[in-house]
Amino acid sequence: MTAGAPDERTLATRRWHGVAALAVVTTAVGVVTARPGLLLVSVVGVAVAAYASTASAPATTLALTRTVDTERPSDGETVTVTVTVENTGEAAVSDLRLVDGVPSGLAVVEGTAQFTTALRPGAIARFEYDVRAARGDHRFDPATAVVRDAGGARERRVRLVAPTRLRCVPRLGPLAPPALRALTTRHSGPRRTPTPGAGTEFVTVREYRRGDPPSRIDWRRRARTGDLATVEFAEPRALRVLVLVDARPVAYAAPGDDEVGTPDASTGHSDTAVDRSVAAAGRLFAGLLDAGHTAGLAALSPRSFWLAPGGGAGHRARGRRELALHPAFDATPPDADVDERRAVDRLVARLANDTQVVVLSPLVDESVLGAIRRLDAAGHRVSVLSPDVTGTATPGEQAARLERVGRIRSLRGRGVPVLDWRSGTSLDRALAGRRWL
Amino acid sequence: MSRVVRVCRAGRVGLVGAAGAGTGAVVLVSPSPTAAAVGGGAVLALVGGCLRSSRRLLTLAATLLFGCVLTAAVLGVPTPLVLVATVLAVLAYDLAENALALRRQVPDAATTRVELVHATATTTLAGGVAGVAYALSSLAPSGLPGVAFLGLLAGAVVLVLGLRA
Repeated sequence: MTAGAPDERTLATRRWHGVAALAVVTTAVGVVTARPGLLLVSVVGVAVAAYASTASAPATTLALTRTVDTERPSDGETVTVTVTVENTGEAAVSDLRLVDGVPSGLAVVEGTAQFTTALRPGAIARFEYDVRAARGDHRFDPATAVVRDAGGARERRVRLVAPTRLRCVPRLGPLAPPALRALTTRHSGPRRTPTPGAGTEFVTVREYRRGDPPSRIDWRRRARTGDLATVEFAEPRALRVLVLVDARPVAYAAPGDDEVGTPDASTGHSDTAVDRSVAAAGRLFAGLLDAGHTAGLAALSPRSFWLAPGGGAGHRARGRRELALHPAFDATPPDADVDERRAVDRLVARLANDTQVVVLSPLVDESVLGAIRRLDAAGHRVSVLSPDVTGTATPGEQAARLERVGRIRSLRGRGVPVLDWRSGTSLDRALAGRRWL
Repeated sequence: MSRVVRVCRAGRVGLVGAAGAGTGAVVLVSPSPTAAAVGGGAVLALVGGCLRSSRRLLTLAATLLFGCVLTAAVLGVPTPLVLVATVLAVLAYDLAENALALRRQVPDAATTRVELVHATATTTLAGGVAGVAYALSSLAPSGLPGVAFLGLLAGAVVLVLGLRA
């Protein structure tokens, strides 16, 4: 991708002003003391300062090209970024400082996105660095070039636009959903319910009623006792599940943040609660669909997102794409906050009555607690999977940790199961041997 | 929150060069112990400024270096030595300031090439001016070097015009 029109700014560095002042002082002392040596000293100072004052702004006739070895990497793949800069003008660029616009969601893992060089007219310089691909649609920002004249008296800053994009849509490693709550739909599915029906798993034998299919009649009993009895099987039913990701700004907390609930504006964090929640949501979503259930996705975020519960390969692919690319699940926190009450009301209005909700939230504030209670009160069975981002290093972190434990207890006391997912633990390990319910 | 301690790559050439130029300037003015003492303080401030990436210490170092050259000239150190010491003092300040700017703007980049280009430009300018000024002053038969003084005044006028612009 090649640079477009640069956006320019020129400024004086003022780095020689002190030399000018000292030259004037030296001249004065030289005149007073009549020392020829001092006058010569001041000549040097005056000449340097005069040069600095009269120096013209350096040329910024630069063309930038950026290429990546793959535009659609897989999650965690190392991508090499090659930046080429050419001096397309007539004058030499003696001092070029360049910082490439690496998207905030990508981390540089090898080399550096900073570069300096001097370029003769027509000369080309190239540098490379590696980034680790992460979920999302990453657009490179313009590179910032600072060009100074030979003496460094003036510098020009230009933004060199070279549109480059990396789209990373991770595969959804399906996760066998843990014991979900027993609210099922009318549709048949894999979930065994206590309701007797037309399944294959034996539940009970009852007295024959007119209209029972002959295939269900217990003929052995009929032969033995002469009574007609009907065998009941467990009827498998499908679950309808909405996976709701807490992606409010406050949820962009990561272990080690000074204060839980204060998102790191610089981002680059690959272990924010939102990041872990989105990864877990993808696995749950895929696991539910693979198991034959109906699953949907939603985000509690100002950049709201809703994918109604559904099934099938197309639905699975759409969920995968949206989790990777939709702004609601972006690696950088949203600027605005969200009105949780209204957001939950909107959600409840959209949800079918028999939909249960799995909320993925770090539980770092009280507002989300209210939202979960509201969902629960609306009659939806709610379960919570909570990535833990609290620490114990500072008194502030310890207090946040205690408050979170209190929230978990409060939810459990209300009958909402909460699975605490410790940081540094894989999701499979967190779920292994744990009862959600 | 733990912070990653990062070793800056940028500006190493300039900082080493600045320390060398500053030390050279002090050695040249050493015929005057007073000037050398002021210069010693300047070098200490320069090294401190480079190690701590402190512009304040660098400004102090530059002022002391000029002070040391001034003292040497007043106390009668031979003019050629004072002139070369002046060029080295300018170079020391320039290299160190440029190195700190590089550290601020591109801390992780390799900067050797641009630093060498910059050092060459400054050395050529300051050294060339000092050489021409000395040559002109040598032309004067005796007493006050009138030609050099005129050159100085012309330079001062250019400076003022430049500042006004």
